[in-house]
This record gives sequence, C-alpha cells and structure tokens, in this order.
Amino acid sequence: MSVYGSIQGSLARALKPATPTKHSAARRPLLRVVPSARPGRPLAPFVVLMLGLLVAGLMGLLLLNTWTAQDAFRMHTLQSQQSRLDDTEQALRQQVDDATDPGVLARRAQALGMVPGDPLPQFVRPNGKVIGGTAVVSGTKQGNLLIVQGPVPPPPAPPTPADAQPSAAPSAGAPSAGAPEQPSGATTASTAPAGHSATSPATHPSTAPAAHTGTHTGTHTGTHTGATTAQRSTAPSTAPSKAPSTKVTKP
Amino acid sequence: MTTQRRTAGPVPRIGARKPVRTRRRRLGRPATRLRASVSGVLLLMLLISARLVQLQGLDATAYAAKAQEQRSHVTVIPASRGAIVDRNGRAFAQDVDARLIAVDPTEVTDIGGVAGGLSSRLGMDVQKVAAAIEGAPKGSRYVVIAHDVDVAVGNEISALDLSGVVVQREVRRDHPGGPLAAQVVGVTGSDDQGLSGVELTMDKLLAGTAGRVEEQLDPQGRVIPQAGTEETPAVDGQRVRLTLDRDLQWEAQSALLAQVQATGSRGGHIVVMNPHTGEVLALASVPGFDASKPIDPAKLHLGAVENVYEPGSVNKVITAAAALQEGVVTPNTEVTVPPVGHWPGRPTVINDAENHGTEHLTFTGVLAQSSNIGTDEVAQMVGMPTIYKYLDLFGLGKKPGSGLPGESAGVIPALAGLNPSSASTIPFGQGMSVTALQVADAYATIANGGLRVPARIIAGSTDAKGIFRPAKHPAPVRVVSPQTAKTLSRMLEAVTGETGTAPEAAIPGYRIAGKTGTAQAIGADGRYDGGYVASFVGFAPAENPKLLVEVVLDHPQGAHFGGVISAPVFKTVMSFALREMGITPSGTKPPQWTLSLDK
Repeated sequence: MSVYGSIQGSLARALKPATPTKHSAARRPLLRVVPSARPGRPLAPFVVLMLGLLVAGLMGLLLLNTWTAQDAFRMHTLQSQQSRLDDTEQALRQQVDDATDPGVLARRAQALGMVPGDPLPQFVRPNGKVIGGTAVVSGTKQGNLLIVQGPVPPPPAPPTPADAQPSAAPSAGAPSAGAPEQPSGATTASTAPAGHSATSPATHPSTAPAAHTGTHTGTHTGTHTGATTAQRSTAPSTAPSKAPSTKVTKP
Repeated sequence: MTTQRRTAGPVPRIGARKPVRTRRRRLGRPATRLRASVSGVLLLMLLISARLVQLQGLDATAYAAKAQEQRSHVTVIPASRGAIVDRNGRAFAQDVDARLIAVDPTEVTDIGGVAGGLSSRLGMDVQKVAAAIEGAPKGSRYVVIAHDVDVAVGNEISALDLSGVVVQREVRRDHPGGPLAAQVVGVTGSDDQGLSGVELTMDKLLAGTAGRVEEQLDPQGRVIPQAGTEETPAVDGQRVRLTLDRDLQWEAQSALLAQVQATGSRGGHIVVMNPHTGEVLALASVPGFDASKPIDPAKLHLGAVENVYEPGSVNKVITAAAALQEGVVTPNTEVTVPPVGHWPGRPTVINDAENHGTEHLTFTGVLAQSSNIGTDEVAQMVGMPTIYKYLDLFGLGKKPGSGLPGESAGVIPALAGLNPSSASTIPFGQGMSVTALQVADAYATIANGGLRVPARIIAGSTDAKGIFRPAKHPAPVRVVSPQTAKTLSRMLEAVTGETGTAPEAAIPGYRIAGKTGTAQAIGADGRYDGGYVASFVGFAPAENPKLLVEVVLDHPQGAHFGGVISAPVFKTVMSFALREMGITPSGTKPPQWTLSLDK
C-alpha cells in the first residue's frame, strides 16, 4: 500500500514538469488529412506479379522434384542393369571355369579323336642338335642361321565309330583342313632365339598330337610311339606333297 | 483490500479458539499468496529442471541409445569367402551368387500353378513341390523349396511372378574342378565355415569380416532419407593361393585313380613336389570325393598326410644317407649278403624279397637291388642312435607342417627300450610308420643337396587390395652334406637302371633317381594282414632335380612290387610334369655303377 502510494507520488512528481508542454500541444489541431502518396495505383500488376512468382516457384519445385525422381529412376535402371551384368559376368566366368577344367578338356579332346602326345618334349640346341623326345623337328645350323624344320601335320584322323560324327570326310577335306595349321607348328619350333634351347611344339599339349603324328615330306620317321591317330591316318597319307615348312631365325 | 483489513482486525479479540480459520484467512493476504505461488512455481520449475537434468544429463545416453534402437535398423552385409586358387590363380573353390527359392504358403493362391512352375524350372517332382507347400506347418510363411539355384533359373522364376514365391540371393561355394584336389582344398559347412583341408586351416583368412548398414526408420518402417545411414563395408575374405598346379594335379590324380582301379588297390597316394622350394605341385589320395556333389564325410580326409603305412625299402635311403654321411661306407664298399640275415642277439630272421645264395654286392648294389639283409648289415655298422638321428633330421616322426589339417607325425618307436627285432627292421622300413608326404619330403632333401625344405601347400594369400603375402613356412634343415646328397642321388640312379628294381620308371632322355618300396601292409587290427604297400619315389632330372614324384598303392591285388605297379604311374606323371614345365632332357649319361662283385 505504502509502496503503491510512493510510486504514485513519484509518478506525479515526474509528470509535473511536463504539464506545460502538454498544454501548449493541445492548442494545435491533433489530426489533419494527409494527401495519399500514390493516388490511383492499380492493384492488378502486383497481384499478377505475386501469382507469377508463386506459379514459377511451384513449377520450379515440381521440375526439381521430377528431376530428382528422374535420377532415382535412372539409378534404379542402372542398378538393375549392373546386377544383370554381374550375373552375366559370373555365368560367363563359370562357363570358362567349367570349360577350362582339365578333366573336361581331356574328355573333349578325346571326343574329337585326340590322344595324348608323346610325353617327351623335344629341344633344339643352339648348335642345331635335337635332343629328347621323338624326332619330329630337325635343326640344321648354317653359319649364323639355325634352320628348324617342322613337321607337316597329317590330315585329322577320321573319328572313331563311337563318336559318330556324320560330317567326317577323312580323305577329301582333311589335307586342306590340316594344311593351314602347318606354319604354326613350325613357328612354335623356331621362334625361340637360337641362344636358348628352343622348345618344340610337343611342349604344348594341344599341339602335341598334331606334331607327333606328322607325316614328314620325303622322310617318314616311323617313330610315332603310342600315337593311335597316326595309325589311323596312315590311309590318307597320300596327302598332297607339301614343301617342308622351313623357318629361318637369326641367332 | 480494505475489507480484509477490517475483518482481520478484530480476530485476536474473538478468541484463539479457531486458529485454523485464522490461518486460512491469512492466506488471503497478497504477500503470502505471492510468496506461496512463487514458491510453488519455483518448486515446480525445480522439479522440471531436475527431471530435465535427469533426462538430458544423467540418463541421456541410455535414452538416446533406446531411441536409436527403436529408430535404427541394421542390415548385415555378409563378407564373401575368399577363393582358393592354384599357383596360376585358377580356382579350386570360390563363392558364386546363387538363388534360394522359398514359398509363403499363405500367399499362394494356386498351388498347382506354383508347383508346376517351380518344378519345371528346378527339375524337381511336381508332387514333391506341392507336398512341401501343403505340408508346411500351420501358419508357416516360409518354406524353402530349393537352395543353390543358378542365377539364370532364379531370374526365370522371378519373371513368372508367381504369387507367394520368393527368390532370394544367397552365396554358394563352387568347385569348378569337382573331384580335383578336393581333399586338399576341403569343404565348408552350412554356415560357410571351413570343415576340412585348406578351408579349415585357412578359415580365418578366407572368411573375412561381415559389414553392416545402419539406417533410420520411421514408425512405419520406411527409411528416413535425411537421417543419415552408417555403413561399415564388409571386408571380403582373402584369396588363398596354393602351390598346386591344376593341370598337374589332374594328371596325377587321374593316373593314380586309373592305377588304383587297374591293380584293385584299396587306395593310394600321389605327391608331386619341387624339391628346392618344398612346394607341393600335386597331392591326392584315393579314395577321394567330388566336392561338387553330396559328400561322404568318411572320405574327407587326405590319406597322403593323415594315413600312416610302413615305408619298407624306401626307408633304406635314410640308412644309406646316415652310412655315407658318417663315413661308414662308400658307394663301392663291398657288402657280403648271406641268404638269410640272422645275427646273434637278434631274434628276427631277415629275408630278402627274392631268394639268393651268398652275394657280394657293392653298397650301391645293396640299394639298387633293395637288399634287406645288406642294408641291415650296414645299419649295424652305423648304429641305431645314428640311424635315429637321421630319421629325425629327415623329418620322419614329425609333422611336416605343410598347412593341411590332421597331419600325422608317423610312428617311430622310442629309441630307449627299442626291442631288438625293431632294431633289425627299422633300417629297411619295417616296425615304423610314415605318411606319404613325409617320404616325399625326405627324398626331396636328397634332391635338394641335403637341405630339407619342409613340404608346403599354401603359397600365400591376397587381400582385398590385391597385396599378396607369402605364407610362413618352417625353416629349412641341413640334413646331410651336398656331397653325400649328390653321391646318394647318383646311387639312386642305379635303381632305375636295367639291373635295378625299377627300370619301369626310366624316362628316355632323362636321368631318374628313385627308390622302390614294397612293404607289408598293416590291417585295421594293427597286424600284418598279408597285403602290401607298393611305392616308388623318384626325382628328375637326377643331375639337377626339378621335380619329385611319389606314388603309393595300398593293398594292390596281384602284382605288388613298387617297381612294377607304382613306377609306371611315376613315369606317366613325371613325363607329363617334365613336358608341362619345359624341363630339358639331361643330355648326359647316368653314372655306371658296379652293383655285384660276383661275376
């Protein structure tokens, strides 16, 4: 109570000096009409602007959303594509694994009428001497040149009856079919620098049967140990006489 | 306000009889009320702040964890198990994607259609599929129809869009080689853990560490996109490279299997090694198993490292090495071999494989013609303690530490208290047992100039970054001097000569050193059962050995001499290996030894 009173009192004291000013202001008119600053400005452009901004904003938002959604769609497509490709890759890799399995290779080779080659590799020494294995290649040294003479592969053996390959044409198509393989055998034998012992085709299992059953032009080596293909192919040994494949390498 | 004051005034006069009323009335005073409400509010605020402190300060971690737990969802990313590959990186075992086909019976509307669709693609019986769906326990929503389905088949089934059929991703352990090196590589269990072979010994490296993805989900279980996901990638298992060569392994395994079948043997072992590095290039035992088919657990073990047999004559090389190294004999020392070996103080009568009169052989002749009596005579000159020292140095009676599980150390009776008959027979390989790998290791020692490099099967492992780390191996052991090893190797060439016990092992153009072994086999009851173990172990080219092949045939029917039935397998495999590895022919002649002094 007394606090309230004292506040009132002090307020009164504080207001007292202001009283004369109050009185002089009261003498002026309190309000007067102020002319409008922008008379008759149309409202329409503003509304149109606002609506335009609104629409543009909405459109932008929509476009942005669509855009991100597009990306999501694209990501999904690409992801499914990737997983499809992964599956394909794995399937192909498994195919390769299965196809290169030694057991499968051996069975396929057998089905094609191939037999294991002479197990012993042949090596041509830098001096032209051939060591090891069955004499299939011959080497002669002429000055600085090492001449390695490779075998002419025989026509492919007619398939065994068990294989029953109807497309077999033992004597007619075979020599020409066998001929293109001939340079490759010779190349393998001679590409090694003369400084090394050149490995013969026989070192590679796949070329072994062809090399060892080779019908040498002129001299037929008769040392085809265990090569049944050779025995079977003796009939079409009337293959057109082909010049011995000769490749010359510089030492 | 004034009213209150007025009524408050006379209270003391009315009397102290009603103090309660008085106090209540005093509450009406603004100051009191102000104070009361301020205290009330303060108390409330205090409680709230205390709770705040408790929630945000003291229990904050627990609540945050709880919230996290409710929100977050963890998906485990399984690590793919590392492949096991041969020395050239070709896979023996690898993880491949597969599909699991399951059915939610409650969603299946047309059992016939689903069963028909699934059975035709999975190659299963329609009735069986239908029965599996119908026979599911009531309320079951997950019936597995097939595991390990090819991805292509799985995709086909997905495309059918059958109601209630679920196609899920799973991983399958693929063995492209089937039976190829199956016992060495081993198998994994249903939880992808290694059970045998290298899969077992290298399980930790192969398995890798599973990763995880932690996502924030809303109450409906949808991922909150902006909440952030925490991903710990899986660390895939390492690729383990073996020392095996896939092609050589195949050749060795096929040749062994063919000979086991041809001779009607119960089983056999084959080891192909690089004697310089100890690397095992091929290792197989019969019976084996096909890893790509359902497996008989009894066939999981690898006999070449787990089964023991009496080595027989192949052990004579240890005796010979001891005798040569200790200077007791030279290759040309004359040994008089009586028809039967019967020495004073020894109860056992020693016989040779073939009956003969009294012969005068050189020590090389004793080895080449594999005379038990002659070997025993020399062993007596060397003395059993020395023989034992060399057995130990050659690694017999000890686990080879090749990196395969279940290795046997073999059985060698203790030297102390050795009975006299064992003392007579151990020098030529009876009364003791070894594994095929131990014998290969011992011969590799001779091929490697007397330094034994323990056989090893694991080359190393490649981590996710492609960094190859070679595996750790036991240290090499010096067994005999290079000179002794060379002499012994030259003597062993006589074995494959025309007058030796294994001319069948000879390969034209190459010098071959080796030794035959024809030992009495031990049956299940631990006694000789009348069968034999025929073995041949040799290396080529003898002047600079690059390869070692050991062939052991267990209980052959008919012919049972190692030189007759095991040596041809040696020849086949060794020829193949020499060709595959491009090893040049010797170009030199084997040494000429005088074997017999009788003529």
